[in-house]
Amino acid sequence: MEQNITGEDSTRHYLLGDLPAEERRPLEERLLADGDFLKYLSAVEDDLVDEYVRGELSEGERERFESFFLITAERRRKVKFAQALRRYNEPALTSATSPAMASTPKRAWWRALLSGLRIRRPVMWLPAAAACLLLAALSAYWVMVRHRPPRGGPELSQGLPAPNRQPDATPQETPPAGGQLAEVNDAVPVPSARDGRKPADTAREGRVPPDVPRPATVVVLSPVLISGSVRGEGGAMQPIVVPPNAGRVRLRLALPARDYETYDAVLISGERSTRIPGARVVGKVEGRDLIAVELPADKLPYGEYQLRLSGRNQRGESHYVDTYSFRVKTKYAATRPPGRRRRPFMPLR
Amino acid sequence: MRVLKGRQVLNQQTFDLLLNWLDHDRERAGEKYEEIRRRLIKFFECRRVVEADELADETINRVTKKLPEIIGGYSGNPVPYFYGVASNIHLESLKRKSNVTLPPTLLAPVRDERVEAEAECLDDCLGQLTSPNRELMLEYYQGAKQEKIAHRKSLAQRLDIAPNALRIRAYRLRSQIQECLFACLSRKLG
Repeated sequence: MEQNITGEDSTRHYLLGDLPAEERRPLEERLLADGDFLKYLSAVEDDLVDEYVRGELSEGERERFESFFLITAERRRKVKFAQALRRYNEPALTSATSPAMASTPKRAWWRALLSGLRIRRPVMWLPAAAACLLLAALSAYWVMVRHRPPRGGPELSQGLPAPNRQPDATPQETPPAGGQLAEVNDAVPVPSARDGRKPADTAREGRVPPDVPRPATVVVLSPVLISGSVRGEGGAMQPIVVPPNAGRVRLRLALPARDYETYDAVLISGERSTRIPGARVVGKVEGRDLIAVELPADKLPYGEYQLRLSGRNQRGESHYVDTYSFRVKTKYAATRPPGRRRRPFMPLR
Repeated sequence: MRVLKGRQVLNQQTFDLLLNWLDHDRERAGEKYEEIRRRLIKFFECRRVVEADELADETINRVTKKLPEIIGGYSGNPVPYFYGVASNIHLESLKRKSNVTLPPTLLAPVRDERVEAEAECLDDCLGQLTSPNRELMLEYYQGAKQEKIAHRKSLAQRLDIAPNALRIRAYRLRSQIQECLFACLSRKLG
């Protein structure tokens, strides 16, 4: 389209009502005559609305925006949408607009952490944060593989029924690099269109020898969960997206402080509780120690959970540390075949 | 009988005359009619008219009423004629109304319940997009100021499309998600 005829600056001035009459006329005539220009104008409107919501307009622009632009119901609707989209893309902002979440130094810390690390909108990650988490994920995987008792052993079976797997099954973690990590809350069970990698490619890279038939267990890494004492009671519950074909879920918990070598967790859902002993520190994220707790995905159906964490000192005494609240959601496939509906959510309650 | 939001009402005969003036093909004429109405609404919005749709309908009404007089001697694109009538109607509306009451601030705090519902709805709405469109939708609107401009430029290069084509594509997706979100929220929150 002929954007050169009407530059973006003129269009913005026009929308804010401060374009001189002699410049306004050709623009209005074009608005009525050129269908593409109407779309272009609406797109510029969207940008203005975003800038208003982000507080990026100059004082004069903001005044014009509020007194001139923001008069129709449709435009106010656009502002509401922009606010919702921003809260969605930058979840840490939720607390900033909620009166229930007064600012405290602690929250300032978790906001900063969440704004960089929250994984609900993976494409928003800064590359540095992604690299940092990759390192943490790899460390967690390595430590857990090295220190985990034999499959079916006491670690999980104490509190959880054995998951559906073959005795020699080895978890095959979704490749932590590139688009797959970013596609579905850290781990994607399906080949990503972004990098074109397929499960077979992963095998060829040597992590799972292609000549050894092993059932593929997709391990989903949770976002870094922040404890209730740090987030505050008014904070939104942290979501974890679990794809339908996930085999295991690794919950990653940011510790408020590192006072113990070993930690035990109790997963609480409704009236059920499941003990998960022996979690250890597996890495550090943003200056906070990170521990990982892994459990079968079928123990985490759609619903809300609390994870109570306690630490064990050298004498074996257990002390309560903190509680982490989260919500498990299912996840759409990255590419859904046309015409197929997403599997409906099945709430527990 | 076609009832518009303006003060007058079009009967079938005058409405047919209007459609025939816009295009001899009735289906295309209908599309043109809707398109002209959309543009007129935007025109009035940009002139700070609260009831932009009412004035758009009034413009169409007045053009239609004049049509029997002008149709014989008028040649070319009808759109400029609409523009002239719309400008006059806007001037008249300025005389009728003096002050516009602005809505209360939109930057008020939001309840957590609504935030949760929004997130769930946006999950669903974005889930209805194809994977490339979902990525485009999320990537296009990230960043601020210069960073945003540079990011969009590189995104357009990556997709091998002109920056304005990217902008319009993002706008279409955004409109789609916006409608989906509000429909979903009204189902969830009533």
